[in-house]
Amino acid sequence: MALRVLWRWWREALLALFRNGWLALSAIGMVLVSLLILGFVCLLALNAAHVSRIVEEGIEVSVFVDEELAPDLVVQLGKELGRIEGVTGVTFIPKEQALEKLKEDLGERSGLLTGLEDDNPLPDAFRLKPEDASLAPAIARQAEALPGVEKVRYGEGVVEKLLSLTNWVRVAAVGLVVIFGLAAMFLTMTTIRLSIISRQEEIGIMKLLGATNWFVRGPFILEGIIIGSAGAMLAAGFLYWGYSSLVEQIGRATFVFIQPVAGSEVALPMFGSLLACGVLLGALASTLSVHRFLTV
Amino acid sequence: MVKLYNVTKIYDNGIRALTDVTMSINKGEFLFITGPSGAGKTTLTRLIQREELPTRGQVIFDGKNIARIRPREMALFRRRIGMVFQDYRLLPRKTIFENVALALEIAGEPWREIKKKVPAVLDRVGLLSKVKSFPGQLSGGEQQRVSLARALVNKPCLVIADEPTGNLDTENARELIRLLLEINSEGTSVLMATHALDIVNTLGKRTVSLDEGRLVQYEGRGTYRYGA
Ligand SMILES: Nc1ncnc2c1ncn2[C@@H]1O[C@H](COP(=O)(O)OP(=O)(O)O)[C@@H](O)[C@H]1O
Ligand SMILES: [Mg+2]
Repeated sequence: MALRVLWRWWREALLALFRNGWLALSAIGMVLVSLLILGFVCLLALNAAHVSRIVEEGIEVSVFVDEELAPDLVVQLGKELGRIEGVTGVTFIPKEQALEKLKEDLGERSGLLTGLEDDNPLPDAFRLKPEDASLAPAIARQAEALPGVEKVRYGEGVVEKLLSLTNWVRVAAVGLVVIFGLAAMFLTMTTIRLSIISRQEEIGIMKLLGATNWFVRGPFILEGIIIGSAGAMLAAGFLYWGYSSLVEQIGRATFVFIQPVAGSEVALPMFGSLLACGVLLGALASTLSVHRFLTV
Repeated sequence: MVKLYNVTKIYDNGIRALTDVTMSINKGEFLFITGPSGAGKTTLTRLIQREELPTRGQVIFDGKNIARIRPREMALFRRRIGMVFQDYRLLPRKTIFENVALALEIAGEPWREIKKKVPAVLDRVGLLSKVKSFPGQLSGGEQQRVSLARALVNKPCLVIADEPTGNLDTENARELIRLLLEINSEGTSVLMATHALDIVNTLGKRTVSLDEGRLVQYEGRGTYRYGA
């Protein structure tokens, strides 16, 4: 493709945008609003998934060791626990450490425990980290079967409820993103189509003068891309600004245990995907809308 | 150069615009099509440019049935015809300069050629002072002349002018006819549709007359009168 052709496309696209100023601005505004909403929903979904993951990461399987078990067999047990499928980490918690922890947790009332240091009633334990929270029950069952294991705890009942909740949150998040993505697509396409329909006569005239389809189509596609990317970049900018100040507010609040995804972390992917959305939607909308009027 | 064989055109709404028209336009010739308004003159020009297809019959351009032109060849075919539309068909959002330049851009002319040719042709139709105006700021007659300039700028082998004097005063009309004769003498075939009999009669060119979509006189030379 000759450079001259590309140059003409750009000139025509920019000229058309400039001469139809208000129409172009309202189209950019429309893209901005729809991508703003879509981006907001995406951030919401992202954080829902983030919180779900952190909650799931907190799930562990505790294996309490039989008090009678010889120390070298305890080491052996630890190795065997590590070989269970789905276990990514094994931490040994000797009973002394467990008592310390208990004292800490009780705080002022730790006096209740004085004198227990010599005759520690707590068992040694292993803490198993599952690869995936949903594997916890299966890991627990296999651990229980090993010799020298007194009992196994992983928060039975609670874990299952938590897992179904986080799964539901994830499905809902994806569903919302899809719905709002379709809405944004529809709005953007309609706006760009309207701006092209108002120029269908010009398309017909160009065809009668002997213009090829690409001669007509090129500038319109570029125009769509410019509108789409301008709206997308504005949307990304507003979202980044709004989101990082929100995260900062949350960071200052003391009652929040789980921090949202950092603004700096979402900035680049958000900017990239919104821009890609804008460019694609703009190009697609123009191509489809012009197509109808090319058969003259 | 162009031949019509038994061409009938019935529009989608059932209106019969042309009935069984057989005629030809020869290379290098200046041909008038006359007839009262509604006779089918504009329809005839649309068929030659393939804006419309005939319902029956054939339009042959340089030995080729234009109904068979493939979409890819259409653009090249249309560039060989310069069309002055009765309703001008200028792009409202482009300046006069840009409207004329469009025809050259479509033909793939480089920009430095365009910058030379557009002012030259606008000068020829007497509108050099209006290069930066938009069509909406011009009178009907001026827009008609821009349409003519756009048709001429590519030096097509056939110029079709549909009522090009319809909105012009006598002075401008005479000037426009002079221009059409001039490009005709340079070798371009000209087909001019008009209902202005005085022009037809003074020039003595071959004239084809239509009435209610039928050929009523063929091969006359400026002797046509309504009702004759
Ligand atoms: N696009 C169209 N659709 C339907 N009818 C048309 C169309 N164009 C012209 N006609 C009809 O065809 C007949 C011939 O019109 P036209 O070719 O414009 O005549 P002229 O140019 O001689 O005045 C008229 O009756 C007109 O109403
Ligand atoms: Mg007419």
